[in-house]
Amino acid sequence: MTLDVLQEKIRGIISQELELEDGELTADGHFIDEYDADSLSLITILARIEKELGIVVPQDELPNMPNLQGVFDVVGTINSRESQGV
Amino acid sequence: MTTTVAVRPLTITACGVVSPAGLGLGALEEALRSGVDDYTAPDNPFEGAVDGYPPRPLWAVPDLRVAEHLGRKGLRHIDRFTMLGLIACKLALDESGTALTDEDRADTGVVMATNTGSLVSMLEVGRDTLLQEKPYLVNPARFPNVVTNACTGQIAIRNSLTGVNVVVSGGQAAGLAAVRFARTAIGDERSRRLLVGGVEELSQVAAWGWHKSGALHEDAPVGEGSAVFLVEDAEAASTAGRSGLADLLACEVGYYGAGDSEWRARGLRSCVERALERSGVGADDVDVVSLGATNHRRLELLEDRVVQEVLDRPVPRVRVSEVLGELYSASVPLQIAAVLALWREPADHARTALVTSVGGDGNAGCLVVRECR
Amino acid sequence: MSERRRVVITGLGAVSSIGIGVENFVAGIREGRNGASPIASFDASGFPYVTAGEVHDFEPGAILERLDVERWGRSSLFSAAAARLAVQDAKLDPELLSASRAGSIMGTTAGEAQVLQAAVEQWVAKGLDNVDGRLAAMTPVSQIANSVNHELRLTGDAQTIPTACSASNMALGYAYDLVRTGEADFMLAGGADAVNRACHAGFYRLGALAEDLSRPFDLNRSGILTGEGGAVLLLEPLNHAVARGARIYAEVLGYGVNCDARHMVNPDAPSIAECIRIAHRYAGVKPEQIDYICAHGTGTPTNDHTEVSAVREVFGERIPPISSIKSMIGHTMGAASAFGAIVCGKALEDGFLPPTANLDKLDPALGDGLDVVPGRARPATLNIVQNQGLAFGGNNVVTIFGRVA
Repeated sequence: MTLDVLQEKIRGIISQELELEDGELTADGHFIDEYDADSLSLITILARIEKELGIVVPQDELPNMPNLQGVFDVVGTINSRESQGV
Repeated sequence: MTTTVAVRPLTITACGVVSPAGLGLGALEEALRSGVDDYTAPDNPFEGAVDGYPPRPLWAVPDLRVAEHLGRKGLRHIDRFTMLGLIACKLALDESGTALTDEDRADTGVVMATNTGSLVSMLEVGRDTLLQEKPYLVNPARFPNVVTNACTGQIAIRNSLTGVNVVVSGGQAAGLAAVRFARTAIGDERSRRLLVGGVEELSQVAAWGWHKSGALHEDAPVGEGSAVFLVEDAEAASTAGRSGLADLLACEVGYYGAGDSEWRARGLRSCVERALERSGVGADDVDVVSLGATNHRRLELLEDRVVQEVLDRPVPRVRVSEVLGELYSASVPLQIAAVLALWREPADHARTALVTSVGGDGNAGCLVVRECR
Repeated sequence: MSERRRVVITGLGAVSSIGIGVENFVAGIREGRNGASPIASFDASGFPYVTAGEVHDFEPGAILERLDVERWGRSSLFSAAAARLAVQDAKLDPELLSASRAGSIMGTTAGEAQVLQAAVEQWVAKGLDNVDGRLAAMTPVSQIANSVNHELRLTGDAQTIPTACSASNMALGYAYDLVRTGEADFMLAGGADAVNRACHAGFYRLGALAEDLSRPFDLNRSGILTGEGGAVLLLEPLNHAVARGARIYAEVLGYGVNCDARHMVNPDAPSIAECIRIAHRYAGVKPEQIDYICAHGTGTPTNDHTEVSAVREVFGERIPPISSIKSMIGHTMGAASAFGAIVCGKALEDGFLPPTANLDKLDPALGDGLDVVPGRARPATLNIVQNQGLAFGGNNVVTIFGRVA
């Protein structure tokens, strides 16, 4: 999966779980303050990333993922680490 | 030790109904008077499950028009069971006319009868633990739906009702237990008004459960639905000049599952007699009986016989599950709704109804309902 | 309002992972016994965490006199057994009990979860039309109270209240109401739940499950251990208990109930504080009279922090000793508050502060002046105590008990 495709899928999952319209989710929009997310919806996003994209993101990473860019960064790091077999 | 004392009536000021006959009391009245032309078939709520429904009539609630009643937001992970309850509550609150103030909402609670809550949500998680790659790959957003109080929790959240919030499970007779609970809660001023009712949902699991248990006649339909009543203390309502649809008088219940069918008949009979006595209502005053054990093997005859013995004269019977299907723990609320539906046609006096119930588990009881004039 | 009767607790019945029968159970609590063990009731091999608080030595047939153990699920057997033990503990004539206006109000979270689990296994393996038909009659949540009435041949209310993790406090409150108002002369009140795979999976997925130990109030607490069991209390009018010379553990002074109406899962401190105030008002007590708080204390980072904040809101500077028995028996869900109530009753009678086990380092974020009674029980004279139950759905119920001098 290319990075672009991966990020598009993540954007789709987050938009669905936070019930956002197309284009509403920005890279630095704060999930909790701007999109009414809560711990349960964030955990649900991680669960879907694990189930649908096969990338396991530990819940300890949640503080590093306050917005879409944060998710891209964390997932990107995990993904490249895994693909390098580290 | 205990003496039988009169009870403080509760007044129903508004009512919301969601049933296979459609939404509202009007649709239920129409169904009771002239039947339902075309029942809606249920969906398959389980993703990936290939199992069909058992061969018997299955009556689902038609189009719920969810967005129209509940809006579009915040419903992504709400299950259908909870939707049924939410819409019934919405209809009841809308019917009450005046919107609740913040203060009112803090003084309003919820008491709902159900058997297990959403069996669909519970079993969805159960299936995921077996069918997913890892047993823990269940959907976290849907996990809170598995608790039996998920529906009442959502009713509270979406309507900001911070009063007592409770679910009662008592099988077929659970709705009677809900009325009893409501009376205690209001009598103790724990909440000024309560949404009291019940909800059950049709799924292939529930349908197979009924089918396999052999509890119902072979051709008995299985239905679903919810009825919710906005209730308050009768004296308080009347002092405030709020008109009601009906008063809930005495409600007596008991467990008679540890004996034979004669024991159950005696138990039900004692409930009916106590309910009449504590309501100050004579057997001659009863205009109609709304029965609960319709289509239940053996119990149907037992219930009818007990009612006949106590009243000792022919009194009209209403059998709501003949038009809505088997409703399990939502039966009593819809039995009450059926009486209110029929009372939409005016009479020359304030009518009185008995709502009876006797379940295969041994719970039985009787509620006295009197029309408000 | 018409005349109300005073209501006391005269019988206690416990089926727990640290002991069966109230004496065994409370001896375990006092020494901080650990009831956690590797899961045996289902195949947990696919789970990263495999520990729970299961009851391994429960033999329902040895306790129950009437129930056919083949026809009732594990949760119902827990509740019926605990009820039978409570009646024996109360030394109340079972014949008198069943001839009286008596019944049961029982709390539960998942009802007969193990029966449903068996049904799902059969469904997945063989299809819905091949699921054992006998399971249908065993699944209703209402069986948890029905089993109590059936076992004791009671003809009063048999009411199950499935309001998740505060359910048995609600059951206790409602049963107290029924006795107090004269609707009933005796009530059995409590709760039961059984460890099951769906619950284990759900809490793991929420990130709310501990790996091997429940550590309420600890800096490194990480979640709950799912637990199980049955806990039942016998309620009777004070004057009746006195007349028959019964041992009185405690008087039920009152309870408070409310609903957060904010979130299904996240607790809300101001709402919990309000519930505590409601309980105090109904019980006619002031915060400074409370000698001990049996906390909900699940051991999740969020719960303990929110619960302590709520307690501070009500109690201000002086917080009574507060502990969590979930550190020993895990989170027994619908039975949790009833186990708490049993411990409260014994603590009042025997004069001790129940401990919080597994405490390594008290979480400084919980604030100063917190006594969680670490390790083992301490002797103390208690007069009034409070028992807190919080639940999914935002259902808070707080019960208040007092010593009858």
